Amino acid sequence: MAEGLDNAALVSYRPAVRALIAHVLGVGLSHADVEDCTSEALRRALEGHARLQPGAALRPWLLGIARHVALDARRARMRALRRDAGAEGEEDRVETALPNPHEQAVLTERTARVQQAFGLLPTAQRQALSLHAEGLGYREISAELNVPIGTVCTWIARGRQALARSLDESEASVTDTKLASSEANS
Amino acid sequence: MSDDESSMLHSSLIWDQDGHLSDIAQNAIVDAESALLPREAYEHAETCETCMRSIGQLAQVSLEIDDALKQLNASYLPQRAAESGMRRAVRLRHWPVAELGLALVIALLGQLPTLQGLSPAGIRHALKALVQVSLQVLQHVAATPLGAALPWIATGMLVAISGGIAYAAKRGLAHNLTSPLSSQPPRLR
Repeated sequence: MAEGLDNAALVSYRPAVRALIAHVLGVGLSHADVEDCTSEALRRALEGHARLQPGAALRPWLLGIARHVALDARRARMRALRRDAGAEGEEDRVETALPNPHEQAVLTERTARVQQAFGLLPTAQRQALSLHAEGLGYREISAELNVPIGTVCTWIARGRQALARSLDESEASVTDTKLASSEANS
Repeated sequence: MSDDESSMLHSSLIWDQDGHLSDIAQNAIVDAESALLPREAYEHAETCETCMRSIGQLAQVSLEIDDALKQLNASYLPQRAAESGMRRAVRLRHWPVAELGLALVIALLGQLPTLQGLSPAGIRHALKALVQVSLQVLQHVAATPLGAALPWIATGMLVAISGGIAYAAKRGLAHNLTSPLSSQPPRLR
């Protein structure tokens, strides 16, 4: 379960870190910010690796750093855009690293959605995802559940797909509600 | 990103028909399971905007799942323990009981010729001799220092076993009180 953060691990995680950063920033891979944030995230991970608790899973920790770096960069970019637009000062007071109440409510709603959808997954997918969240690799899960590695890959992919779908549906329902209320108001 | 092809996934699991990475390969990249994928898969991921967009979304979803499971963990762990107990039970059920039984029957059949010469009186005599020998051994042991200590050893064992049972019962009670076993999905807050 315990993973070390060496060069091999960094190389293995780099595509996922880069893709996540591009996703959070909402830009293409070739954007300069993606490369900057990727380097920054990997640098922070290398420096802070000693603080990672023994036995803790490396992937969520590392991707969490990447998400944090990307969110910081996105907020900084938005601040700069607003400053350029002449709203200087106000946003600097409001923008913080912490999510605002609206963002927090959305996060809570999404977490609840994932939890609900997780409970509805087939047992095999639930077990695979749960073991994976605990930090086990595909091979370890394969040994634990006594199934071929390809089956583990499929369970994890299908499970995530189902959970992602539940999040998409939640976003769609929120959008539908907003549309309905705006139509009703007009 | 491995060169050891034996440990890799089959190419049909890695590539889609349109030449992009399959969702299985994309998930493997998110999870840094580089030993399962060939170098070409990583090279493709580094340059393909379509695949990288999907990988970014998957990475985001994987983080949300981790966050949700972290909150769910307290209530899910007992369920997982129960599931793992069920798996152990299934493994036990999968023991070759029929084969073992058949082997025992064959072994008994092999011993039948040796039992042919025994009469009921002979069996009674053998059992009587066995009981007498056992009693003599017990009397001999009772006369030694070990024999004197036997009641104390038995008492100690009884106390230890009852203590173990009480501890296990207490743990089971605490477990039931603090983490109700439920297979129901958590309700939306």
